[in-house]
Amino acid sequence: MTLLNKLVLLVAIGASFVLLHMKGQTEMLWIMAVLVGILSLFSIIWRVMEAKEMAMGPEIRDRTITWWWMVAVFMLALSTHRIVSFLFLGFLSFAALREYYSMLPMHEKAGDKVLSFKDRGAILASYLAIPTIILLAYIEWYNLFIILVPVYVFLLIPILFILQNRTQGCLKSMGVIALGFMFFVHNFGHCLFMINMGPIVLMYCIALTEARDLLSFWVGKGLARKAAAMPKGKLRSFLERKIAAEISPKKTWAAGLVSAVLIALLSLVFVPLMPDFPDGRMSYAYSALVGFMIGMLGLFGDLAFSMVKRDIGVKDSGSSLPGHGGIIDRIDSLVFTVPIVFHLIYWQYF
Amino acid sequence: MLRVCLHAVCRCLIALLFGYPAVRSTCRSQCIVVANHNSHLDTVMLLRLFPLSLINRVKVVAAGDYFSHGLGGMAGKALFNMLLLDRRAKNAANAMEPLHQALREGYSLVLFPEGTRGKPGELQEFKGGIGKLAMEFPDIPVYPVCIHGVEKSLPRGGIIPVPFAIRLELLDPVFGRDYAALGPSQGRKALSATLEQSIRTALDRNRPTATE
Repeated sequence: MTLLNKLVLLVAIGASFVLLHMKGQTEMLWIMAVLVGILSLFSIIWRVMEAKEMAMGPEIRDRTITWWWMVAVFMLALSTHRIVSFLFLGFLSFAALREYYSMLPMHEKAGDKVLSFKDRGAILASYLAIPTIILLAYIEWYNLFIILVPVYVFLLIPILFILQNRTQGCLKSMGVIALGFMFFVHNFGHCLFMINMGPIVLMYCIALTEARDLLSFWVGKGLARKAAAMPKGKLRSFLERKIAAEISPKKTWAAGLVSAVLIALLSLVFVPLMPDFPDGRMSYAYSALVGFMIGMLGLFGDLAFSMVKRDIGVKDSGSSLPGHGGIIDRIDSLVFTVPIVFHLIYWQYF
Repeated sequence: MLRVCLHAVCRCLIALLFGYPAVRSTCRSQCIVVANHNSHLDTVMLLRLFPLSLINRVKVVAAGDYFSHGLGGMAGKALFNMLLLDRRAKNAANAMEPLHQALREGYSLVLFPEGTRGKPGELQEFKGGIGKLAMEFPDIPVYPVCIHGVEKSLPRGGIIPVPFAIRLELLDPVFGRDYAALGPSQGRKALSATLEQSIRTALDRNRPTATE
């Protein structure tokens, strides 16, 4: 990390602090300060690890530096102007969708490959759904926002295929393309409508989802070590029970559940910061429920994309984020948590 | 100056649509860049290897029969220093003369030894000209570059570029001087084969292997 990079990072974080202060968003300021604190702590941790020449040192370093950038960019996007937030999240959705389509093998004759070259038109159509979604979320046309992708874009794809006069491989292509825009445009696109609930709600969902990703890794490690030291018995076999050993050999039900409970507890911290919704303020009990849902859904989001990647034989979805793989590797859990959290809050408080 | 601004805008657009390249602005001294050719986007992508300030010191070798007229020719002239090569020339030495001239004047070259846009993702046999060129300028590095993903974005016959992640892979440079010992005709063939093999390996390494 060069000095210039550090300077840019500092300016970005400083600017978003100032902007939030000017807007009087004290709650966001608090959350941001805590995030910067946690990141600073990790920056110290990796330096200590490198000094002690521990094996995990360089990995933690890369990950932490990338986290700094992600937090800085995200904060800047959320603190400048509503339009910027929308465009930023829309771009994130586009980048993830592009990464998804790019990692799928493509071939002239759609035989053994996943996509065929004739699918380019339909893929372009699914990209064009993104600006539409941004616009609908921006003008807060909820009813059209919620059906645009699953109804209109979904039906547009077979129509495009018919106009291309295709038979070969169309079933596979339609399925794969639809999966892409349902995941990354529709589900992830709920982020956009969340901004309308209040940026804090989006922060709540994203922070808890990302926290679950980090927590589950350490909880998994800790429980595995504990289980290994136990005598054989019912408890040990429960602790070592895998969710899907073929997809991810290390993920256990126990670690998933413990992480979900921890996230439910962590979500309580956000309750006093939440905005006033039309039907009142968020209660602690409801927040715990949402937190637990985030814990469980994030787990399945993580596994869903591991499953897809295993099927096509790639390790990371891309290489745009050093130490993290691709964008999909970073937002896979959000694809599952964001729409559900949105609707849980929407039904209860709007 | 106008062209530099045009390129700057182009680069921003490309970064937004096709991803931010990991290799950029690496070619700071005179060199020859050879790459696999699947699409019109290739040239624009390859110019990312040169810093903006040097964009006017690069010449792109293009097919004279294709780029001398029409829309492609106009776009080419606006964006690049095009060096039109007569693909149907009877006398190869005469056809290659402008390339020699450009190298003598200190320009860098971007060229596609396949001579045409082939089938998506398949590398065709390299034409002999590149070997000859490298042997005659033994100290100018020849960089083989493998472009991934461009054939999905805008394959031959496509009209609208569709966003896909495009990656450039800069491979180890080859120098004509290392092949001088083989003699002119053997050295030429060996150098050309090395470049081709280098790009072919990079292409094959990046094919995802679907589990059966």
